[in-house]
Amino acid sequence: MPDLIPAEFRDLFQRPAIANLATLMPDGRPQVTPVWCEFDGTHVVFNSVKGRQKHHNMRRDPRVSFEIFDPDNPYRYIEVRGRVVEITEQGADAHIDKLAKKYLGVDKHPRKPPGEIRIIFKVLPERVRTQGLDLRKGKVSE
Amino acid sequence: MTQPIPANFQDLFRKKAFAELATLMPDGSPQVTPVWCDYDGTHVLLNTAQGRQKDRNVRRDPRIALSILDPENPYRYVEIRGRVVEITEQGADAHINQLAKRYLGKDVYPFRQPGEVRLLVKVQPDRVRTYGG
Repeated sequence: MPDLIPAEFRDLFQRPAIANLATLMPDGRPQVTPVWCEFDGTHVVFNSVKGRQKHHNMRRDPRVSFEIFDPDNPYRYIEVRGRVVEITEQGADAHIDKLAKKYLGVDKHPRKPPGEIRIIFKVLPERVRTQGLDLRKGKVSE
Repeated sequence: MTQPIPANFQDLFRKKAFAELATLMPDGSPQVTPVWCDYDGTHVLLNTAQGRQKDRNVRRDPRIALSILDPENPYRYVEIRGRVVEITEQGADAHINQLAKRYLGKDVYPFRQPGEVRLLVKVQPDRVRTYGG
């Protein structure tokens, strides 16, 4: 369902815009945390560290939601609900370096504590909502 | 148990920092949406309009989470898990205007829709974590 992410909002995945990702705790409460991501045309691909709370949460319940806003205009944003369809260590080190390039402009992720294992998780979008408020026009359609 | 927002992160409530609010849908799945926010020293104060998805969600299940990133440095942020302890119309109009002043530099909230009823939503922070401080 790649069409769910509208073409005019895909720039948010190409720019250093941080996603705020909600996962579900064991008792069903939400947790929300900022995370780097990109869009591969079908999935939104995130990178995290094995053993973090969101990793445990997504393994137990794959339902997630995230929001990304335009760093130049926080009133322009995309909200996505979907599910985690894959979690893998494969390629995760190269992927975090790629994201470090996008977000920090450096070739390698600058912080890699010994023993830390990176993971990639892929989210298939199911529901998407966009908001494109241009403050100069002063119009909102929430 | 209420946890305070550490003093060295309360500047986020003076900046144009958005709260990323996670609520629970009827099926228990999460929804995240950006909202303006404020802090009264005990509660995180949000403002929404009656009948919106997040309003319906927190009335059904008051458990929420928030992340608030420093607009000048997104690697400095606070994560909050908590509960909505009050939803009231009282003071909500004055509060949205106050937020409009801070976020937009306008005396009156400019995006009001006809018939819209504003709600002041009070969140009790149960667990607060700060990063990049």
